[in-house]
Amino acid sequence: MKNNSKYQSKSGFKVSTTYFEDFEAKMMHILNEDEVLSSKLKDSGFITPNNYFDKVEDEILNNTVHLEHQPKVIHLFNRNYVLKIAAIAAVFIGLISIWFSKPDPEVTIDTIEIAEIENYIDTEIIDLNLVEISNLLSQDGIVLDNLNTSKVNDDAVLEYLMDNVDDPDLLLK
Amino acid sequence: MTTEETLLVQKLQDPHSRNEAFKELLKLFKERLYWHIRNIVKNHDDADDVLQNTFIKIFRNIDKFKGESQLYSWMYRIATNESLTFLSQNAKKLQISSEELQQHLIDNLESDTYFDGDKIKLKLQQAIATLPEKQQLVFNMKYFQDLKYREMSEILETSEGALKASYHIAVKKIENYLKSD
Repeated sequence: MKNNSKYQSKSGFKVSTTYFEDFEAKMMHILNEDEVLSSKLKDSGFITPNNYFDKVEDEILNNTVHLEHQPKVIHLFNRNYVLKIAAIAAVFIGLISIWFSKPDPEVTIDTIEIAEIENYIDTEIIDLNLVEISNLLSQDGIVLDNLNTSKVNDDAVLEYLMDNVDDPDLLLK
Repeated sequence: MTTEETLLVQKLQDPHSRNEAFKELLKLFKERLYWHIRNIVKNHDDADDVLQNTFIKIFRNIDKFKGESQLYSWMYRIATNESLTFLSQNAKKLQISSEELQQHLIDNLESDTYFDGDKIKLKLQQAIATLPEKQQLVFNMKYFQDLKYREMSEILETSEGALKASYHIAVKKIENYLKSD
Protein backbone atom coordinates (compact mmCIF):
# COMPACT_ATOMS: atom_id res chain seq x y z
CA MET A 1 0.00 0.00 0.00
CA LYS A 2 1.16 3.47 -0.69
CA ASN A 3 0.23 6.86 0.62
CA ASN A 4 -0.68 9.22 -2.14
CA SER A 5 2.08 11.76 -1.84
CA LYS A 6 1.36 15.38 -2.67
CA TYR A 7 -2.22 15.18 -3.98
CA GLN A 8 -3.87 13.14 -1.26
CA SER A 9 -1.66 12.96 1.80
CA LYS A 10 -4.04 14.10 4.53
CA SER A 11 -7.23 12.20 3.82
CA GLY A 12 -6.00 8.78 4.90
CA PHE A 13 -7.17 7.09 1.70
CA LYS A 14 -4.71 4.62 0.20
CA VAL A 15 -4.28 2.77 -3.08
CA SER A 16 -2.20 -0.24 -4.04
CA THR A 17 1.39 0.56 -5.02
CA THR A 18 0.91 -0.49 -8.61
CA TYR A 19 -2.54 1.07 -9.03
CA PHE A 20 -1.52 4.00 -11.15
CA GLU A 21 0.73 1.92 -13.39
CA ASP A 22 -2.03 -0.64 -13.83
CA PHE A 23 -4.53 2.08 -14.39
CA GLU A 24 -2.37 3.59 -17.10
CA ALA A 25 -2.00 0.24 -18.84
CA LYS A 26 -5.71 -0.50 -18.48
CA MET A 27 -6.61 2.92 -19.79
CA MET A 28 -4.31 2.59 -22.79
CA HIS A 29 -5.89 -0.74 -23.57
CA ILE A 30 -9.41 0.73 -23.38
CA LEU A 31 -8.37 3.71 -25.45
CA ASN A 32 -6.75 1.51 -28.07
CA GLU A 33 -9.84 -0.64 -28.30
CA ASP A 34 -11.94 2.48 -28.49
CA GLU A 35 -9.66 3.91 -31.13
CA VAL A 36 -9.96 0.79 -33.25
CA LEU A 37 -13.73 0.88 -32.97
CA SER A 38 -13.89 4.59 -33.41
CA SER A 39 -11.53 4.62 -36.40
CA LYS A 40 -13.84 2.07 -37.95
CA LEU A 41 -16.92 4.07 -37.14
CA LYS A 42 -15.67 7.61 -37.44
CA ASP A 43 -15.07 7.16 -41.10
CA SER A 44 -18.65 7.78 -42.14
CA GLY A 45 -18.22 5.74 -45.33
CA PHE A 46 -18.88 8.71 -47.58
CA ILE A 47 -16.37 9.13 -50.40
CA THR A 48 -15.93 11.63 -53.21
CA PRO A 49 -15.03 11.26 -56.90
CA ASN A 50 -11.33 11.50 -57.78
CA ASN A 51 -9.90 15.03 -57.74
CA TYR A 52 -13.27 16.33 -56.62
CA PHE A 53 -11.85 19.06 -54.40
CA ASP A 54 -9.67 20.46 -57.21
CA LYS A 55 -12.59 20.51 -59.60
CA VAL A 56 -15.02 22.05 -57.16
CA GLU A 57 -12.55 24.83 -56.41
CA ASP A 58 -12.47 25.76 -60.10
CA GLU A 59 -16.24 25.60 -60.36
CA ILE A 60 -16.75 27.84 -57.36
CA LEU A 61 -14.16 30.32 -58.63
CA ASN A 62 -15.92 30.39 -62.00
CA ASN A 63 -19.17 31.24 -60.25
CA THR A 64 -17.71 33.91 -58.00
CA VAL A 65 -14.33 35.52 -58.61
CA HIS A 66 -14.11 34.90 -62.36
CA LEU A 67 -17.72 35.91 -62.86
CA GLU A 68 -16.89 39.41 -61.67
CA HIS A 69 -14.15 39.77 -64.32
CA GLN A 70 -16.41 39.04 -67.24
CA PRO A 71 -17.65 42.18 -69.00
CA LYS A 72 -21.32 42.72 -68.54
CA VAL A 73 -23.36 42.19 -71.70
CA ILE A 74 -26.40 44.37 -71.97
CA HIS A 75 -28.93 42.77 -74.29
CA LEU A 76 -30.65 45.15 -76.64
CA PHE A 77 -33.97 43.45 -76.18
CA ASN A 78 -33.91 42.20 -72.69
CA ARG A 79 -37.16 40.99 -71.18
CA ASN A 80 -37.64 43.82 -68.69
CA TYR A 81 -37.04 46.45 -71.32
CA VAL A 82 -39.61 44.89 -73.70
CA LEU A 83 -42.14 44.58 -70.87
CA LYS A 84 -41.74 48.26 -69.94
CA ILE A 85 -42.23 49.39 -73.55
CA ALA A 86 -45.26 47.12 -73.93
CA ALA A 87 -46.82 48.51 -70.74
CA ILE A 88 -46.35 52.13 -71.86
CA ALA A 89 -47.76 51.32 -75.31
CA ALA A 90 -50.80 49.63 -73.76
CA VAL A 91 -51.52 52.70 -71.61
CA PHE A 92 -51.31 54.99 -74.67
CA ILE A 93 -53.57 52.78 -76.76
CA GLY A 94 -56.08 52.69 -73.93
CA LEU A 95 -56.07 56.48 -73.53
CA ILE A 96 -56.38 57.09 -77.28
CA SER A 97 -59.24 54.64 -77.68
CA ILE A 98 -61.13 56.27 -74.76
CA TRP A 99 -60.49 59.75 -76.16
CA PHE A 100 -61.78 59.00 -79.66
CA SER A 101 -64.57 56.61 -78.88
CA LYS A 102 -68.11 58.05 -79.36
CA PRO A 103 -70.34 58.09 -76.32
CA ASP A 104 -73.27 55.69 -76.45
CA PRO A 105 -76.49 57.45 -77.63
CA GLU A 106 -78.82 58.32 -74.78
CA VAL A 107 -81.51 55.68 -74.33
CA THR A 108 -85.06 57.12 -74.30
CA ILE A 109 -88.42 55.49 -74.75
CA ASP A 110 -88.53 56.89 -78.30
CA THR A 111 -85.34 55.09 -79.30
CA ILE A 112 -86.71 51.68 -78.38
CA GLU A 113 -88.47 49.76 -81.08
CA ILE A 114 -92.21 49.27 -80.38
CA ALA A 115 -91.83 45.59 -81.29
CA GLU A 116 -89.22 45.23 -78.56
CA ILE A 117 -91.55 46.75 -75.95
CA GLU A 118 -94.41 44.50 -77.09
CA ASN A 119 -92.17 41.49 -76.97
CA TYR A 120 -91.02 42.51 -73.52
CA ILE A 121 -94.59 42.70 -72.26
CA ASP A 122 -95.75 39.60 -74.17
CA THR A 123 -93.06 37.39 -72.71
CA GLU A 124 -94.42 38.39 -69.31
CA ILE A 125 -91.21 39.96 -68.20
CA ILE A 126 -93.45 42.61 -66.77
CA ASP A 127 -96.97 41.86 -65.73
CA LEU A 128 -99.21 44.90 -66.09
CA ASN A 129 -102.92 45.05 -65.43
CA LEU A 130 -105.25 47.08 -67.59
CA VAL A 131 -105.20 50.18 -65.40
CA GLU A 132 -101.42 50.22 -65.42
CA ILE A 133 -101.35 49.81 -69.21
CA SER A 134 -103.86 52.61 -69.64
CA ASN A 135 -101.73 54.86 -67.50
CA LEU A 136 -98.84 54.31 -69.88
CA LEU A 137 -100.75 54.89 -73.07
CA SER A 138 -100.94 58.31 -74.48
CA GLN A 139 -102.41 59.81 -77.59
CA ASP A 140 -101.32 63.11 -78.94
CA GLY A 141 -99.53 63.85 -75.69
CA ILE A 142 -102.69 63.30 -73.58
CA VAL A 143 -102.40 60.48 -71.11
CA LEU A 144 -105.39 58.23 -71.07
CA ASP A 145 -106.50 57.67 -67.53
CA ASN A 146 -107.88 54.23 -68.04
CA LEU A 147 -109.41 51.94 -70.56
CA ASN A 148 -112.94 52.48 -69.40
CA THR A 149 -114.71 52.93 -72.70
CA SER A 150 -118.18 53.28 -71.28
CA LYS A 151 -118.21 56.99 -72.04
CA VAL A 152 -117.14 56.41 -75.62
CA ASN A 153 -119.77 56.06 -78.23
CA ASP A 154 -119.95 52.50 -79.65
CA ASP A 155 -120.13 53.72 -83.23
CA ALA A 156 -117.02 55.78 -82.73
CA VAL A 157 -115.19 52.75 -81.35
CA LEU A 158 -116.31 50.61 -84.28
CA GLU A 159 -115.30 53.28 -86.74
CA TYR A 160 -111.89 53.58 -85.03
CA LEU A 161 -111.34 49.87 -85.17
CA MET A 162 -112.35 49.60 -88.80
CA ASP A 163 -109.89 52.31 -89.71
CA ASN A 164 -106.99 51.06 -87.64
CA VAL A 165 -107.17 47.31 -87.38
CA ASP A 166 -106.09 45.42 -90.45
CA ASP A 167 -106.85 41.91 -89.30
CA PRO A 168 -110.63 41.30 -89.40
CA ASP A 169 -110.25 38.28 -87.11
CA LEU A 170 -109.44 40.60 -84.22
CA LEU A 171 -112.83 42.32 -84.69
CA LEU A 172 -114.62 39.02 -84.35
CA LYS A 173 -113.01 38.30 -80.98
CA MET B 1 -11.08 36.08 -34.00
CA THR B 2 -7.43 35.14 -34.38
CA THR B 3 -5.05 37.64 -35.96
CA GLU B 4 -4.84 35.44 -39.06
CA GLU B 5 -8.61 35.35 -39.40
CA THR B 6 -8.90 39.10 -38.88
CA LEU B 7 -6.35 39.66 -41.62
CA LEU B 8 -8.14 37.29 -43.95
CA VAL B 9 -11.47 39.03 -43.33
CA GLN B 10 -9.87 42.41 -43.98
CA LYS B 11 -8.51 41.11 -47.27
CA LEU B 12 -11.87 39.60 -48.18
CA GLN B 13 -13.62 42.90 -47.54
CA ASP B 14 -11.12 44.91 -49.53
CA PRO B 15 -12.13 44.91 -53.24
CA HIS B 16 -8.46 44.93 -54.31
CA SER B 17 -7.49 41.80 -52.42
CA ARG B 18 -10.86 40.07 -52.29
CA ASN B 19 -10.34 37.56 -55.07
CA GLU B 20 -6.98 36.34 -53.83
CA ALA B 21 -8.28 36.12 -50.27
CA PHE B 22 -11.31 34.18 -51.44
CA LYS B 23 -9.09 31.64 -53.16
CA GLU B 24 -7.23 31.24 -49.89
CA LEU B 25 -10.49 30.86 -47.98
CA LEU B 26 -11.68 28.26 -50.47
CA LYS B 27 -8.51 26.24 -50.04
CA LEU B 28 -8.76 26.41 -46.26
CA PHE B 29 -12.40 25.52 -45.83
CA LYS B 30 -13.68 23.61 -48.86
CA GLU B 31 -13.04 20.16 -47.41
CA ARG B 32 -14.23 20.94 -43.89
CA LEU B 33 -17.45 22.46 -45.16
CA TYR B 34 -17.95 19.68 -47.71
CA TRP B 35 -17.85 16.98 -45.04
CA HIS B 36 -20.11 19.00 -42.78
CA ILE B 37 -22.65 19.33 -45.60
CA ARG B 38 -22.21 15.73 -46.75
CA ASN B 39 -23.03 14.44 -43.28
CA ILE B 40 -26.32 16.33 -43.44
CA VAL B 41 -27.46 15.73 -47.02
CA LYS B 42 -25.78 12.29 -47.37
CA ASN B 43 -25.55 12.26 -51.18
CA HIS B 44 -22.43 13.51 -52.99
CA ASP B 45 -24.17 15.37 -55.82
CA ASP B 46 -26.43 17.18 -53.37
CA ALA B 47 -23.45 18.00 -51.15
CA ASP B 48 -21.65 19.40 -54.20
CA ASP B 49 -24.59 21.68 -55.06
CA VAL B 50 -24.96 22.88 -51.49
CA LEU B 51 -21.20 23.47 -51.11
CA GLN B 52 -21.15 25.66 -54.22
CA ASN B 53 -24.20 27.62 -53.05
CA THR B 54 -22.58 28.06 -49.66
CA PHE B 55 -19.38 29.55 -51.12
CA ILE B 56 -21.34 31.77 -53.51
CA LYS B 57 -23.29 33.10 -50.49
CA ILE B 58 -20.08 33.60 -48.54
CA PHE B 59 -18.55 35.52 -51.45
CA ARG B 60 -21.60 37.73 -51.91
CA ASN B 61 -22.14 38.43 -48.21
CA ILE B 62 -18.60 38.77 -46.93
CA ASP B 63 -19.07 42.54 -46.61
CA LYS B 64 -21.90 41.92 -44.15
CA PHE B 65 -19.65 39.85 -41.88
CA LYS B 66 -19.08 42.07 -38.84
CA GLY B 67 -16.57 39.87 -37.06
CA GLU B 68 -18.89 39.34 -34.09
CA SER B 69 -18.25 35.61 -34.32
CA GLN B 70 -15.41 33.53 -35.70
CA LEU B 71 -15.18 33.41 -39.49
CA TYR B 72 -15.38 29.62 -39.59
CA SER B 73 -18.51 29.55 -37.40
CA TRP B 74 -20.18 32.12 -39.68
CA MET B 75 -19.35 29.92 -42.70
CA TYR B 76 -20.47 26.76 -40.94
CA ARG B 77 -23.74 28.51 -40.10
CA ILE B 78 -24.30 29.36 -43.75
CA ALA B 79 -23.46 25.77 -44.76
CA THR B 80 -25.83 24.36 -42.12
CA ASN B 81 -28.69 26.64 -43.18
CA GLU B 82 -28.12 25.88 -46.86
CA SER B 83 -28.13 22.13 -46.15
CA LEU B 84 -31.28 22.21 -44.03
CA THR B 85 -33.07 24.44 -46.55
CA PHE B 86 -32.03 22.06 -49.31
CA LEU B 87 -33.48 19.10 -47.40
CA SER B 88 -36.77 20.81 -46.61
CA GLN B 89 -37.16 21.90 -50.25
CA ASN B 90 -36.51 18.33 -51.34
CA ALA B 91 -39.14 17.02 -48.92
CA LYS B 92 -41.65 19.54 -50.28
CA LYS B 93 -40.80 18.59 -53.87
CA LEU B 94 -41.30 14.90 -53.14
CA GLN B 95 -44.35 15.71 -50.97
CA ILE B 96 -43.05 13.71 -48.03
CA SER B 97 -42.24 14.55 -44.41
CA SER B 98 -38.67 15.24 -43.30
CA GLU B 99 -38.61 11.87 -41.48
CA GLU B 100 -39.63 10.09 -44.68
CA LEU B 101 -36.96 12.00 -46.57
CA GLN B 102 -34.30 10.86 -44.09
CA GLN B 103 -35.38 7.27 -44.61
CA HIS B 104 -35.33 7.80 -48.37
CA LEU B 105 -31.74 9.14 -48.19
CA ILE B 106 -30.57 6.18 -46.12
CA ASP B 107 -32.28 3.70 -48.44
CA ASN B 108 -30.35 5.22 -51.33
CA LEU B 109 -27.02 4.88 -49.51
CA GLU B 110 -26.78 1.15 -50.18
CA SER B 111 -26.66 1.71 -53.91
CA ASP B 112 -24.64 4.95 -53.72
CA THR B 113 -21.34 4.69 -55.62
CA TYR B 114 -19.86 7.24 -53.27
CA PHE B 115 -20.71 5.40 -50.11
CA ASP B 116 -18.00 2.99 -49.10
CA GLY B 117 -19.59 1.88 -45.89
CA ASP B 118 -19.75 -1.64 -44.57
CA LYS B 119 -22.74 -2.96 -42.69
CA ILE B 120 -21.85 -1.28 -39.42
CA LYS B 121 -21.42 2.14 -41.05
CA LEU B 122 -24.72 1.78 -42.83
CA LYS B 123 -26.35 0.78 -39.58
CA LEU B 124 -24.85 3.83 -37.88
CA GLN B 125 -26.25 6.08 -40.63
CA GLN B 126 -29.65 4.44 -40.18
CA ALA B 127 -29.45 5.10 -36.45
CA ILE B 128 -28.52 8.76 -37.04
CA ALA B 129 -31.45 9.15 -39.41
CA THR B 130 -33.86 8.26 -36.61
CA LEU B 131 -32.74 11.27 -34.52
CA PRO B 132 -34.45 14.66 -34.57
CA GLU B 133 -32.78 17.22 -36.86
CA LYS B 134 -30.92 19.13 -34.11
CA GLN B 135 -29.58 15.96 -32.48
CA GLN B 136 -28.40 14.72 -35.88
CA LEU B 137 -26.49 17.96 -36.38
CA VAL B 138 -24.93 17.83 -32.94
CA PHE B 139 -23.99 14.16 -33.29
CA ASN B 140 -22.45 14.59 -36.75
CA MET B 141 -20.46 17.65 -35.72
CA LYS B 142 -19.15 16.08 -32.54
CA TYR B 143 -18.66 12.50 -33.64
CA PHE B 144 -17.45 12.77 -37.23
CA GLN B 145 -15.91 16.23 -37.25
CA ASP B 146 -14.61 16.37 -33.68
CA LEU B 147 -15.72 19.96 -33.25
CA LYS B 148 -15.45 21.42 -29.76
CA TYR B 149 -18.63 22.27 -27.88
CA ARG B 150 -17.51 25.90 -27.83
CA GLU B 151 -17.26 25.91 -31.62
CA MET B 152 -20.57 24.10 -32.03
CA SER B 153 -22.17 26.56 -29.65
CA GLU B 154 -21.18 29.45 -31.91
CA ILE B 155 -22.29 27.69 -35.07
CA LEU B 156 -25.65 26.46 -33.80
CA GLU B 157 -26.20 29.44 -31.46
CA THR B 158 -27.03 27.09 -28.59
CA SER B 159 -25.50 26.91 -25.12
CA GLU B 160 -22.70 24.43 -24.54
CA GLY B 161 -24.72 22.75 -21.80
CA ALA B 162 -27.66 22.14 -24.10
CA LEU B 163 -25.32 20.76 -26.76
CA LYS B 164 -23.70 18.35 -24.31
CA ALA B 165 -27.11 17.12 -23.20
CA SER B 166 -28.20 16.81 -26.81
CA TYR B 167 -25.09 14.81 -27.76
CA HIS B 168 -25.49 12.57 -24.73
CA ILE B 169 -29.12 11.82 -25.63
CA ALA B 170 -28.18 11.22 -29.27
CA VAL B 171 -25.44 8.75 -28.29
CA LYS B 172 -27.83 6.89 -25.99
CA LYS B 173 -30.46 6.63 -28.71
CA ILE B 174 -27.90 5.40 -31.23
CA GLU B 175 -26.57 2.83 -28.78
CA ASN B 176 -30.08 1.57 -28.14
CA TYR B 177 -30.77 1.40 -31.85
CA LEU B 178 -27.57 -0.55 -32.55
CA LYS B 179 -28.15 -2.92 -29.62
CA SER B 180 -31.78 -3.52 -30.53
CA ASP B 181 -30.84 -5.33 -33.72
